[in-house]
Amino acid sequence: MLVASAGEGGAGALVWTALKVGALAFGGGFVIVPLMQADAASTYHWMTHGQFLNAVALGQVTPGPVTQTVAAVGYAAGGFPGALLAALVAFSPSFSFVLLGAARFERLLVNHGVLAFLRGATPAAAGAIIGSAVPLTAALGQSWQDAVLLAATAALLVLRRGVVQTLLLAAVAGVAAALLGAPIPR
Amino acid sequence: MRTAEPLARPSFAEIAREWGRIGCVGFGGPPAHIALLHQLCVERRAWLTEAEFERAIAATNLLPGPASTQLAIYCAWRLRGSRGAVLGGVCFILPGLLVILALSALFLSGSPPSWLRGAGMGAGAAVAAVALRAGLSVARPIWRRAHGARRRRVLAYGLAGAVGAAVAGQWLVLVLLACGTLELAGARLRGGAARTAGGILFSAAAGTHWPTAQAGASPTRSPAARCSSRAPGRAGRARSYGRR
Repeated sequence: MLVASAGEGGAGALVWTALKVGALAFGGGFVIVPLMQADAASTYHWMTHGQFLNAVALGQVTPGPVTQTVAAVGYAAGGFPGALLAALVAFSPSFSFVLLGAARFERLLVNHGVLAFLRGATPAAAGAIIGSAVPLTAALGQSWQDAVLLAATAALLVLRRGVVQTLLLAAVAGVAAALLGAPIPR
Repeated sequence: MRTAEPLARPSFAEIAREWGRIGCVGFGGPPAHIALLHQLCVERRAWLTEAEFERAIAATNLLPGPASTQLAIYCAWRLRGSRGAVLGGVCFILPGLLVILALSALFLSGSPPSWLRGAGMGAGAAVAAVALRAGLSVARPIWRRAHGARRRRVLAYGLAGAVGAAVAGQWLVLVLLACGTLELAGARLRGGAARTAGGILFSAAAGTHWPTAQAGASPTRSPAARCSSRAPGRAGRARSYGRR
């Protein structure tokens, strides 16, 4: 049933997207965003790019792990069953790592192979997070959103405001834009 | 490896309550979660020592996937084993998951009123700026620590990641894996070359009756020495990550 309801690509595509987020995302929580965007909005069309931006914003302003953004993507792909499947697949590796390997965790700190691998993967992840700003900006459909982005960039990078505060202010700006008659496509 | 027993073991009900509380009030991503877990496990209840907690942060930062979630699960595991880990992890994840499910239903299905769509479009417009800040905060300390050839490699990996995310998002995970594998292969090669150079030096030293200590004082340190000297740096980075 889930396979039928999991949108384009089926449940297999959703599982792969969630697995990348849960088991292959190295170097920083936000790297899940570029890992998901192409699958969710371009390849499988589970959601529009605008809806993907909404999902990321929701993941940032809600409490708990940012990885739960994957549940919003799963919801778009296949309703509640899709959301639960995506969350289950994305969080399972974390439980598995601890349940199967916690006793050996501290050995990782002196494991040459792991440390060397991360010395390559982590700068790439940092670059990926910065690079993800390109498709995230390209996803904006209205010119008033460009002004919000500009103001948010100044708030975060120049004024050093918090992420949750900035996103909430941006949401208020969006409400004001809607009430003032700015274009709000469905 | 435990260095000290926790001062008192929490009950399963306490794990459910405290990890669930952090799941409810943990706004602000990983730094907030780390601070709340530290407050609970080290400062308030002394279930873990400062050093144990720092090593836990450093180790979970080396794993793929959500590091602060893994830290929450790991702390619960340290206190009440596997059942505690599952209980703590689920209670940590569930509140936010329920909220995001409700909001997804509101924003992504049906036809929300225009003011709500406006709120979504406004917050969504700021996401690229959040990405920029998140990326820069990961990149800055890596760049500062790198020098010489390492800095050139860091730049190459960063550019590969940026281009991958900007134009080939679907293949991004391969780019990350490739960069990690390249660095690993390079480290192995450099380690091998260093060992060979060390061997030649040692042979030369033995042949010319140099003091054998000179061979040990090779300018290139062994991979083990290099890695172990970096481990505390990683722990230090984890600490600063927690404060970001």
